[in-house]
Amino acid sequence: MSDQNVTLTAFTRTADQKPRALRRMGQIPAVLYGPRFSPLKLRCNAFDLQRVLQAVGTAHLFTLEIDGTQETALIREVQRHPVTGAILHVDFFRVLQDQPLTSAVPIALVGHAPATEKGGILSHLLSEVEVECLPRDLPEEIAVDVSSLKDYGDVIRVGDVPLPPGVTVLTPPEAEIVRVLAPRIHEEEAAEEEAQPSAEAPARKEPAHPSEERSER
Amino acid sequence: MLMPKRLKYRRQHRGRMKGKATRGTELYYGDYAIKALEAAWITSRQIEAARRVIVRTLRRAGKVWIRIFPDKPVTMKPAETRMGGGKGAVDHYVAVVKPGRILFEVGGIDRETAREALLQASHKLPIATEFIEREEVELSGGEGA
Repeated sequence: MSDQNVTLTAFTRTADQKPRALRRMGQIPAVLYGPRFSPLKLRCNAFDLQRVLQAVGTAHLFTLEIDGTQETALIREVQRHPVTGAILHVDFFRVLQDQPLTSAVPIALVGHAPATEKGGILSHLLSEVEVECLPRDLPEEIAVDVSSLKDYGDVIRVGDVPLPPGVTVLTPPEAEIVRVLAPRIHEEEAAEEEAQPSAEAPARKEPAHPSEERSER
Repeated sequence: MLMPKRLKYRRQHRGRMKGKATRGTELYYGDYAIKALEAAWITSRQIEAARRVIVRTLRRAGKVWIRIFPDKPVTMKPAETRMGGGKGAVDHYVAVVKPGRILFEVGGIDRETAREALLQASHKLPIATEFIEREEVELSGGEGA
């Protein structure tokens, strides 16, 4: 499944166009690679890229227009600034319709878990799974129905999830997607908080008096 | 309080805190987090105080992940001691945090509670922080999550 109506225009980038200078001009350096294709350095408009990223994420196909030619692509990796979160660089993966591809597909929890009514905490442990399939079979997301989670400790694993036809999961089947955790008992927490400072006290050796400390040295 | 189980060398040099964080800069376990915007030594006491206030604010719901660990020993000389006589005794442990580092993550709770808990936690820390959330949470808005 793809959203190939979304189009991003990119331009080839020469070696003298330095990434930092491009970013100052509102452009993002990028690269396009894929099977039977030599990698191509690109640049694209930061605003357009942000719009495409919000529309298709990293698990949807879109059309990449490079100097007039159109390619079907996937956003493979986005490098971000550690503090500001601004996009620094993007990897595009060129998709061949007859060639299987691997991609991380997001997991969406659907339904209502009865265990949460009893106070259970729904712990979402895996947010995406690695799948292999032909581009036309690539799912937008994998829906996981949590209505079977009735008691504390109930778990849904990757192997339990029904998959669309033509899709193979590469993530280990025993990996946990969602688990119901028992609620913490509030009294226990209070007791723990009370107990901890007293337990710490003997660990910290403080001199009773400065003169005592001096005599030790 | 968090502290290393054992150390290869008891005392460390102070070091420098140049640059930005290169590891631990993205949300990994939970849905919401606070990110450091400044560099600092975060002591194990500060981490514990922040953890406690998160747990208290979340009440019985949700899960908390601490993404930093105080593995650096800090030495102190006793008060009113003349200089010399070697390096002081280990007093406490700190985590060296650089801008961009994810400090705490929470999950399994609604956005407003997470925001309040992490705001309270940030008040226990000596640096400016930023509340961040997982992008998929915004996009899908799944009712099960």
